[in-house]
Amino acid sequence: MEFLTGFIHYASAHRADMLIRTLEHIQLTLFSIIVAILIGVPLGILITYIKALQKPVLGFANVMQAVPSIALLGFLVPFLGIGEKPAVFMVVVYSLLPIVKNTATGLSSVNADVIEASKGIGMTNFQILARVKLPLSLPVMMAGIRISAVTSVGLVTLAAFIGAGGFGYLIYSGIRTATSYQILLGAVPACILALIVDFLGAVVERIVTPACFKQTGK
Amino acid sequence: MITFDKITKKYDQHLVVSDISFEIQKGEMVVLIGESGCGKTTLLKIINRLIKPSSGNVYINGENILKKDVIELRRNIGYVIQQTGLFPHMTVRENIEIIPRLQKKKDKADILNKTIELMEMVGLKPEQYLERYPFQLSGGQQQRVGVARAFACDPDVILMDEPFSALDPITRVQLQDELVELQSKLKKTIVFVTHDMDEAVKIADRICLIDKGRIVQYDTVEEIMKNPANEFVSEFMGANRIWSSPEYIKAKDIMIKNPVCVSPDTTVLRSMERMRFQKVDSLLVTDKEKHLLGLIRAKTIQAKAQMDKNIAVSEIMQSDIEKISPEDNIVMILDIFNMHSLSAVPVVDENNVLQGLITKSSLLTTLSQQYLDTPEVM
Repeated sequence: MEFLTGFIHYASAHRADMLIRTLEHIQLTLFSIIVAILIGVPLGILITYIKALQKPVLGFANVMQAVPSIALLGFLVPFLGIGEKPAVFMVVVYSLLPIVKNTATGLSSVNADVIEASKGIGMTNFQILARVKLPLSLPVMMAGIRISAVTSVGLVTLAAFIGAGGFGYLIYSGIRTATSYQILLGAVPACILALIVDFLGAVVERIVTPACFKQTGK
Repeated sequence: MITFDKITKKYDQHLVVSDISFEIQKGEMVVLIGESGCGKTTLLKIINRLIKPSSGNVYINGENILKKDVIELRRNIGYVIQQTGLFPHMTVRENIEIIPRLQKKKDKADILNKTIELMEMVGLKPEQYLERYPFQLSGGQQQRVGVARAFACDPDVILMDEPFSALDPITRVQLQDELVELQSKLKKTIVFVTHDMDEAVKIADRICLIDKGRIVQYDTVEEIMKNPANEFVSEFMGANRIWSSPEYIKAKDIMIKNPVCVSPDTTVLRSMERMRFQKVDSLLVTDKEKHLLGLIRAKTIQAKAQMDKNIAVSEIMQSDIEKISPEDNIVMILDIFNMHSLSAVPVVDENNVLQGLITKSSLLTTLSQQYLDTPEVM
């Protein structure tokens, strides 16, 4: 109890700092996930049309995911310096796999009869992609984006290591100075943010799911 | 008119369609039928270029389709496949309007009017179903939407790939009936693929029977039933197929071709001898050009035992008699026999020229054939 009141006092005393860290964290996460979507979705589409690329692209994304995140940051610093640039780079690299993989899976699992019908009635390849394949695979794609977004929130905490700010900054300086309140001030909001992102992801997933799929759960 | 000119399709070395040439007339419903894997669907998909032939050409109204813009070609050909062909994420309206909207030739109000018209045509209430999704419809309703979509761009040619085979039997029969009715009004050129002979017999103007990538017989339903090209055809049709469609049994097929006739000036006495000699109980009275004038029965003569046997038959013959045309089918004939309780009815053409005679015993012979093991039905 005493600990809790102490923490609340500490938090209200440092709320200006926390606000800055929250904004930094959200900004980094959002920026990274947008970049990851911009790269991952087209890549996922590409590998469903050019099958030869499927193995190398997914293989590369797999390997990148296997590299420990701290080690990856270490590799990046000599080339990109410190700060936000290598942090975003790292988060994007880690987010790619679920997005690329789910995009590709979603697109290739669209019913073959539906695709044949759309060809047969005279839709162009682009129209089939934009009006049939993408809308029908949105739920699967969105699930991938949601996983990436939630992991990104966690990964961004590592970015403090190379001076990118965010909740990680509070956690590490707390560890260095052995201030439990400060550690918690970074860790608790990071968890809450991850949960909020997951919830928002679920909401978006629900919105983009065509009515026909919602029915199947019944 | 669709013309296939030496169409061959190979996958690796496997011949799926081999050197097929035939023509589909404008306004006809042609059914491609055969066992699965015979190449019928391949042939259909060659028409809208979903499958590219290995060699040969297809012409629609004289234009080589392989040289046309493929998107333009497909938009001018309606396409219906099994029920999954609808877009599950689009409403009925969006499904029907997809191509007209992509074409942007008409404004939205015109497109909607057309959609409503199409829905009414296939028997779906627009106000009730326009904004529903395919999963909210029954299989039969879904396929009605599929048919409506095929008509959306007013195509002359419509391709149907086993559209009704996933439906329950009652719905299937309903949709077949409606398709036949629709076709009698719209007269589109329809190519319909099925493996169900009952369906083919019911809806087709012509049947194209395919086996192992070749056409075995391409003919009207009636011809295929009566003159199957070979054993494969008759087996595929089913031995007693004709009995499930008795409307294809015509008077001309079952009549006695040379009934006993007398001229109108023959005497009654001579005609009685004629009956005794030929072992018949009635005679047809015809003039020299075989025009039917009347009928004389043994009973009539016997009833008037006192009369002068030297008068001409024309004086006592019955001239207002029932007649049937060579194209009347056996159901109509049976009706006539029952209604008037007759024992024999002459068959005459439109000029009243005698073609033959159907008697109760010839009807019995025909009808009994379905129960006897005779290879020749007629």
